[in-house]
Amino acid sequence: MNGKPKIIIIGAGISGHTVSLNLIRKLKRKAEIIVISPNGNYQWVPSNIWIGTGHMKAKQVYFPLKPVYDKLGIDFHQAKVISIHPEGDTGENNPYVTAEYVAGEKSGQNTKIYYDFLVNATGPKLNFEAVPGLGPDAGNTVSICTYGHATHAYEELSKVIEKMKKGQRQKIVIGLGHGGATCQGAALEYTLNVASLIKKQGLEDMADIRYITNEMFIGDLGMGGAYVKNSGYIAHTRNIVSSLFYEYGVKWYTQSSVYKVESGKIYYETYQGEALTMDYDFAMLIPPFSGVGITGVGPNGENYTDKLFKPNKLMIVDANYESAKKPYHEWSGEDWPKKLQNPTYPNIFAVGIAFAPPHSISKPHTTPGGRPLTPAPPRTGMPSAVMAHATALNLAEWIKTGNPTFKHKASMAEIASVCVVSIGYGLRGVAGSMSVFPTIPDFKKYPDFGRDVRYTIGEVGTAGHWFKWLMHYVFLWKAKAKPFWWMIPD
Amino acid sequence: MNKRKVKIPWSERAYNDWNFGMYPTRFEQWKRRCLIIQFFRFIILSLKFKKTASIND
Repeated sequence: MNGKPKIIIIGAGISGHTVSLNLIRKLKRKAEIIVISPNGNYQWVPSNIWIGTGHMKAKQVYFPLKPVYDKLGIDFHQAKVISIHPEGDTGENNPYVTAEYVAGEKSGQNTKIYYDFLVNATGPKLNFEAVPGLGPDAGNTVSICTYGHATHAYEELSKVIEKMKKGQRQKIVIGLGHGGATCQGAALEYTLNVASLIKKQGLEDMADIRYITNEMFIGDLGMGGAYVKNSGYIAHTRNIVSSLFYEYGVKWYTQSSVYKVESGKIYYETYQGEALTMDYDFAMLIPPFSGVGITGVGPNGENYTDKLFKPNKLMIVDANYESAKKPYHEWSGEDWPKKLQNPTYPNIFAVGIAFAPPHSISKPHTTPGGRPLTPAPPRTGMPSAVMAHATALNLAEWIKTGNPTFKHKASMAEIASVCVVSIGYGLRGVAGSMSVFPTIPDFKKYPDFGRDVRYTIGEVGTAGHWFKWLMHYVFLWKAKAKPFWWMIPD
Repeated sequence: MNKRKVKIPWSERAYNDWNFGMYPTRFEQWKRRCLIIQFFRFIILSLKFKKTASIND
């Protein structure tokens, strides 16, 4: 390394932004922090739910990153990374990335940025193309994955609410748009928020609300479900989620692998092999995620993509990928990456959705037609921020001491997560709140329930809703790096 | 006439509902929304979440 080490962070979402804030705090001027992201705004994704129900405007959940990064001394490039050259060009052994600017005077121009350390925190590509007819671009279903999508979702939802007011019964379908999709929590939260909005307006008899999912049972949530301490019982999430659905009049369709969408019709295959359709007037289906498609290039222009990425375009890290071949009951927390470090290039890390998990958390299934019924592991929200924070601290210590110690836990099998599914808005909303430890169940360590029930709790009430409401403001404060931001937990 | 608690009619549930979950009683529903009770729950929940999040430190 000549001079200050250069650290590139690709992405400025929850995980990427957490890495850059913590690195600059720990390293101050001892390193050059460079952020490359095609989106010039930071968005607090969990609040997209409230945009999709009209309770918030898009501008309430995002802010421009450039002023924050300028204040902190972080070099920001609003650009899309195209390729990683982990060995640089022939003879120089100086790794770099190439990127294309997407905004400003340099828009359309390519650039070459050198690095000593690289953190891949791109988040997902919303892979609507995997299912014909899926997504807002195809003009059929809507999405709440971005603030733009959520704004559009509310516009469409308003239209069906107007029809209900005129006495027309409407079919509303919310859920997972592919057998391998994840983010069941977001789909569940949106379902209950839409049901609550409709109930509040006295239109519940005019709506047929359905939740369609790739989960084998309701409450799986892509994490194999959880046993949580609740009102004197250790209850399964299946009980809690189904009770909320009963309460809000939502019908649920599990074990359903969606494979095609047309205007007003969803095609899906069940675990039993039935090819069925579901009609809708309004549908919000979460797409499957994939990596964003960055390529790896060798010093002589060789294709190094398979040294860096799995076929799903997610980055290879120190996970035990062979463990996927073991029987489901032998999967354990040991399979999951501890350092989030690429095994071929130790100066490359991946956090959040960008890293390739060793296997799913839920038991994998397929339909008789060969379609997946395997929710991908959820790596959004708190787990992604915790992984990002730990990686930033490990990296900062490496740079400061010269030794990679990896003291901070970055494995999802060793961290706790909190999830709040809020229903409604304002002072009188309700929420299902849950905390789990460890995030990945480990039946070797915790043979009864897979998790430590001292820390794995669940309850329904207004208190959780206030918590989520507070989180919106507190985490935006933190993301803007306002005074004492670092005291706020991930 | 009593307002139905479970919105999905029995004719639909009779043959395919194997998810015998929990339905909150009127008392539980009141408890979930009572501002005084929930204020105390908020404090307890915040402390519990803090304890859980501290594992990650």
